[in-house]
Parts: sequence; structure tokens; C-alpha cells
Amino acid sequence: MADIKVNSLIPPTWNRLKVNDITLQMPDRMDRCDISFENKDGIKACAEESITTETRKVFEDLQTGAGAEFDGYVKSIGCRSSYIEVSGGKAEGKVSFDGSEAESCMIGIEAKSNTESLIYIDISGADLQSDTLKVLQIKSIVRKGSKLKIVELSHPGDNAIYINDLGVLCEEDARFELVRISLGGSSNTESMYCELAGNRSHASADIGYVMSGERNLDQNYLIRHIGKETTCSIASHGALRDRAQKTFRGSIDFITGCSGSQGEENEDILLMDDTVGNKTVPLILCGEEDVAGAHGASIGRPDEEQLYYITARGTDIAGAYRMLAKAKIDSACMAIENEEIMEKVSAFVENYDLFGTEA
Amino acid sequence: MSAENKTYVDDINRSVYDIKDEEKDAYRIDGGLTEDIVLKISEEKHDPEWMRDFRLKSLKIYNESRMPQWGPSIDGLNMDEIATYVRPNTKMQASWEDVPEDIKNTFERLGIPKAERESLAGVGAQYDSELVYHNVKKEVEDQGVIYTDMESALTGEYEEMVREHFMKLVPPTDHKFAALHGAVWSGGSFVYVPPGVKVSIPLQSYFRLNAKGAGQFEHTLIIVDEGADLHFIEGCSAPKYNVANLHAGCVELFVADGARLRYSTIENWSKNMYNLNTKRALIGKNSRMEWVSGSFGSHVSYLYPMTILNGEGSQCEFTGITFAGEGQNLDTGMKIVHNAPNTSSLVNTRSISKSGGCSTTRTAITVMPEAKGSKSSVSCESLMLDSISRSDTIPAMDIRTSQADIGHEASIGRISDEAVYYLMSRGLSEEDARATIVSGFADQVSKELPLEYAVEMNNLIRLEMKGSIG
Repeated sequence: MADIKVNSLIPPTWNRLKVNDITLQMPDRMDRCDISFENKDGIKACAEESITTETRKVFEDLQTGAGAEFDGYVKSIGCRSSYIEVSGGKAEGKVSFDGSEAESCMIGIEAKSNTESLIYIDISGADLQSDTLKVLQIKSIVRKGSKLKIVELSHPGDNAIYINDLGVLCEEDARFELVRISLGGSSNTESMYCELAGNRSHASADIGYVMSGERNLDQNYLIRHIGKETTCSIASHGALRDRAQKTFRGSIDFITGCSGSQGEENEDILLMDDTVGNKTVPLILCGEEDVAGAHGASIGRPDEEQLYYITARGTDIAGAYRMLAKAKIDSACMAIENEEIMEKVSAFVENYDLFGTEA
Repeated sequence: MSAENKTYVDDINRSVYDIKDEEKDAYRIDGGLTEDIVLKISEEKHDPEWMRDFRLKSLKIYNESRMPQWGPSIDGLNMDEIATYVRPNTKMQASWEDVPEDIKNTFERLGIPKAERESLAGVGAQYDSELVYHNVKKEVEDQGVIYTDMESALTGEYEEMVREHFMKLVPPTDHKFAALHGAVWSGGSFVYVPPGVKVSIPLQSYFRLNAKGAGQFEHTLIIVDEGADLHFIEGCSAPKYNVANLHAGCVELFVADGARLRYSTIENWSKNMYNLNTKRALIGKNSRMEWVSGSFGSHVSYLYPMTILNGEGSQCEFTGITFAGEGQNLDTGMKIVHNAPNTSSLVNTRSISKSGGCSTTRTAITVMPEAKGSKSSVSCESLMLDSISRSDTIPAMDIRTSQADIGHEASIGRISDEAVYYLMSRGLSEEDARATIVSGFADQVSKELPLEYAVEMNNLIRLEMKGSIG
């Protein structure tokens, strides 16, 4: 086993706040789990040998949100990636963690120039008696002029120690959009790093989650503006119940030279019980004069008038809480924009036991 | 706007602050930090035994503590080269006429005696490691207000009160430079305001560090008893040298139930200064703490006034501005801990960066499980005046109850071309338009300061902005 530091806050802040990073115990090996696709118009699985040297180097060097130490770790234990080329269209993928003690699914996605693609990934795992480790790492290159949207629905199982890591490089005029819905898991670590290298590139992350019971969620989202006139947005909507704990790090980094760029981030959290713990660290780092950056965070309890309104119409208090929690997921789902996928996600969440056995 | 139309601005004209007095006849301890040096300082200060032991324990903690792993680099600070105690050749006086001429003239140029005559209830003036002047108006004394230097308080009738409070709010274990302060502190003021007493005009302490390569480690201890009201103003400056100076002061504020304390600071240290200052307030039920903070000087600053809202219904308001220019890396902000029900905090910070300056706004709001019904609102705005500067905002919120409402917002940007154009279309020059916008940006802070200090702050900003057009 190795202690690996992940989700580092760059730059760090006061140590006693305990938000600078977390340390995960990682095994010496992990079983491989593959992604399977249905309805895969416009996407093609690529053999590793067919990846060009240039592209392979970009994938290898691409940072992810979990950080260099984690990326080095997955390389050192020989986790091999599947490679996918997307050239427009929609695909629905499934990652089914089968219950092994430690499994990883590594995917490299290259969105070809001037194409528009949507990839929906359902990440599931069995509910087991004991903790198992599940790792999903996606690295994506979004080529010039292309648009790639990745929608992730994660429900890795109640006892999953789940790591969901993402790294993205956007070329000129490229557009990357992430919609990430996180449910279940016992210990969840999710992250994203996006480099807006090309002029006029864009990245967004719309995040929705409900954590209950003893669950914890550690998040690290970093978008780095390098090209000119780049834009980004990070929007996180969530609900915490019981003794759930959550740490959100959201960083927008304007590098000198990215003139004309804009970034914004927002966090909107519902704290449903007194026993929850919430930490929020939204950073704006700026080395360029001609930019505009903003962030906002709103953290609080369910509105009493809203609760009264809902219960006055026949829903019990448990149902009202469920409705408010689902509303957070729905807020993130609005960014999916594809009606078919939105309905799939919404239907799943509707039937999902959001609060587990403690509802 | 194209580069050739851009307005370039001069650095701040600090000549009034850059007056250097000769260190003639001053007693100066060797540079470095050893047990012998700490014992020498203790002897000079005529410490009681408990304070001497306290200093030695603090030194041990200092030696065992590590440097901060976050924040601006302080690699340029070498404690072996810092003289931790420099005593001017004068005792503390109660009349400006008795203060040595050169020192008196320095304070005259800084406007301290004038401010005392016109608008203050009392003044303490510290020069290097000791107070050279201390006076309080009779009518304030008659109210039972105690305003004296720390040494007199420590060795006189207030020793027990000092001992009960000294470095209890900021213990030496808090961080390495709190431990340093505990070992070598000297000078500073002790203030006690009795229950129900409202001090209608401010008290002020002014700290002047004249000696080259020296440190200033004043300790300010203020106790505002139940229902009392005080405004305390702190000012500081130093001439610029080509070696490092260090300021590691400590301010401890105890605000009892129903009391109110406003603590205003205009910090204007020179650009060779490492300003590693710690300020903390503990406030009781239905009490109120107001911080007004203007940071304009120092080479490197670590400055985060902290408030612990320890009584139900207590409130804290923090208003601050930081201006980082060439050669400056100013890491400032605040910390607030909500530790009782129905407490509230309101934070408004502004920062400006220019000419390669780095400004970091670093904040922390913690809401403990006991703080049900608490509210907090934080607003951080940053203005970048060029692309060779930096501005980082690093806020953190740690919320441990659902029954709290917390809001935070921050923004960063540049002077809007449209706003400049609008003002120019109404007859202002480009220079005046930009100066007006920046003054407006700082207005929320300046209006919280007493008039003289608001004027000083606005002058500092306008001097900065009214430069040659390049």
C-alpha cells in the first residue's frame, strides 16, 4: 500500500483548516475494468498502437485534478487506458465495477477537430459488505473547434471508495462541458483539471450530488486559463444529510497572457442536518489584468417557508427533504441539454434511494 | 485600450515616512536569537519572574516550530541579522517637550502631536523597542480608563490583570512568530475601559521603527469591560533601508458582554519590512467588534485579524483594503469563528495590485456546531492595474451546523474602459477618471476611518494614481 496525496489546493492555505489536500491509501495493483458502449454513433475505440506519438505524449503529460502524485501512481502500477476517438454524435457508455477489491477504468478520449459529441457514462458498482476501491480516470483532448460534453452518473455502491479523476486539454475554439452527478459511495474523491490552452476555448463543470449517512465527498476542480478570450464556469449544487462531510475546492487560475478571459464559479449547498460538515474553498488566482473572475457561495438550511409550502400540499417532511435534495441534482442536470439523456438521469435519480436507510 | 494609451502611475511618494534619525546613544542588542539575548531583554525590561520564564518557554517553542509552508516567501528574513531590542536614549515622557528633539520632530512630521491635540483622547508613541511618549487626557482618566504602556502595567498595580490575559488569546504555540513575539516582546500599550464607560474620542498608538536591521515586537492588550465603548487607532511607519526589518507585534482584544470596540489601523511600513503581525479578539454576549484595516506598506505581510464570536448575539464587522505595489507581496485577510448562537459577521475587503505587486486575500469563516442561527456575509473585490501584478483570493468556509446562513462572493477585474470613457466624456482627463474610479473602489473603507486617517489613506491612493501618463 502507498499513501498518495490527492486533490491538492494550489496554492495551499492555513494547515489547521485541513483543506490543503487529502491522503489516500492506494494498493500495489488494481484489476482492470473496461467501459462498454451502446448507441455509439461517431465514436471509435482505438488500439493503443494506433495512437500517434504526439497524442500519446499529450495524454501522458496531461494533468488531472487529483494531481501529479496520483497520476504518477496509476502509471507506476501499470494501469492501462482504453482510447476512444470521437467524431461527432452521441454515445452511451457503461462502467460496471464488479466487486473486486480494487479496480480501475482508465479512458483516453480524443475529440476530433470541428466535431460535436456527447458521451454519457453510467458508473455503477455493487452494494457490498466491505469497502472496495474503484477508480475512474478520464483524460481528454478536445481538438480545435470541437465540442465535447461528458455526462457522468456515478453510483459506485454503498461501500465504494471511489476516485473519479479527470484531465482535459482544450485547443483553440474548443469547448468542453462536464455534467457530473454523484450519488452513493462511502468515500468519494472527485476532481477535474482543465487547461484552456487554445484561444477562445471554454470549459464548464456542472456538478450535482447528494451525500447522506456517513458518506464523504472531497472535490477538487481547477480550470487554468492560458489562451486569450477563454471562458469557464464551475457550478456545484448539493445536499448533505445525516453526518455526511464534504470539501469543495474550486479554483480558477488566470495565467499572464490570457487577456480577455472570464471565469465564474458558484456553489449552492443545502445542509439538511446539524451533524453535517461542509468546507468550501473557492479560489481565484490572477496574473493577468484584462480578465473578469467571480465566485459566489451560498450555504444554508432548507428554507422553512419552502418546507411549509411543500408539506401543506400533502407531502410528508421526509418527502419534502427528498424533493429539495433532488432539486439540486436537477439544477446540474439542466446543463445536459439533451432531452433523452436528461430523462434517463432524472428517471434514475427518481428511483434512487437518495438518503439510504436513514431517510 | 491600446498599450500606448495606457496610464502609467508613479510609486507612492513616501518621503515623509522615509526620514531616518541617527541611532546615536541608543542601546542596541546584538542580532540573533539566543537564550542570553532573551535574558538580556528581560533584564532591561525589569520583568517579574513569571514573565522571564514565559519568554524562555516561548523561545523554546520558537526553536521547535517550523516556518509556514504557505504564503509568501520569507527567505530574505535572517533572524541572525535582526536586532530584537533597540532602546532610544530616553525614558517615556508625558509631554512632547521632554521627548528628544530628533524623535519629537519625526513624530511631528508624521502628524502625531497635532492629531493628539485636535482629536484624540490619548496617544502612545513607540520608537524602536520602547515607548517614548504616553499621555491620556484627564477627562478620560477620570472616567476610570487605564491607558498605559505595557511595562508599567506589567510591573505595577495591573500586573495581575495583565498576567490573566497576556498571550492567552494568542499563545506562543499558535505559530512560530507568535512564539518569537513571546520571547522578545517589548513596548506596546495596555488599555482597560471600565463597565459602562464610553470613550467618546479615540485612543491612538503609533509605532515608528527607525533602527536599521531591527525588529519591533510591541504588545497591545485591550480589555473593554461590560457595556463599554472604545475606538482604538493604530498607525505605523518606518524609513526604508536596504536590509530587512521585522515587525512581529501582537494585539489581544477582550470585549466583554454588551461592549463595543473599533480597532482601526493604517499600516504604512517601508518596503524592506517583514510584517508578521497577529491580532485577535474574543468577544462576549451581544458585543460588537469592528475592524478597519488599511495595508499599504511592507515588503512581505502576513496579516489576518481574527475574531472569536464567543457570546450569543455578538457581531463582527471587518472592512479592509490592501494596496500592493512594486516589490510587495501582501498576504492579508481575516479569520472569524462563530462559536455561539445568533452571531453575525460582515466582511468587506478590497485589494489593488500594481507595478508587479502581489496581493493575496486570505480568509476563513468557521461556524461551530454551537453557532445556530448565525449569519455571515463575505465580499472580496480585487482590482488589477496591470498584467505584471498578481491578485489571488483564497477564502475558506468551514460550516458545522445546518442552522447557519453563509454567503460569500468575490470578484476580480480591471478598471473598466467603459467607465473611464464615461467619465472622460463628462470632462475628466483619463488620469482623473482612473483616480476617481480607484478612489471609489476604496471608498467603503475610507468612510469607516476617522477623517484624518481617511484623508491620509485617500492621499496615499491618489498619489499612487496621479502619475505621468505614458
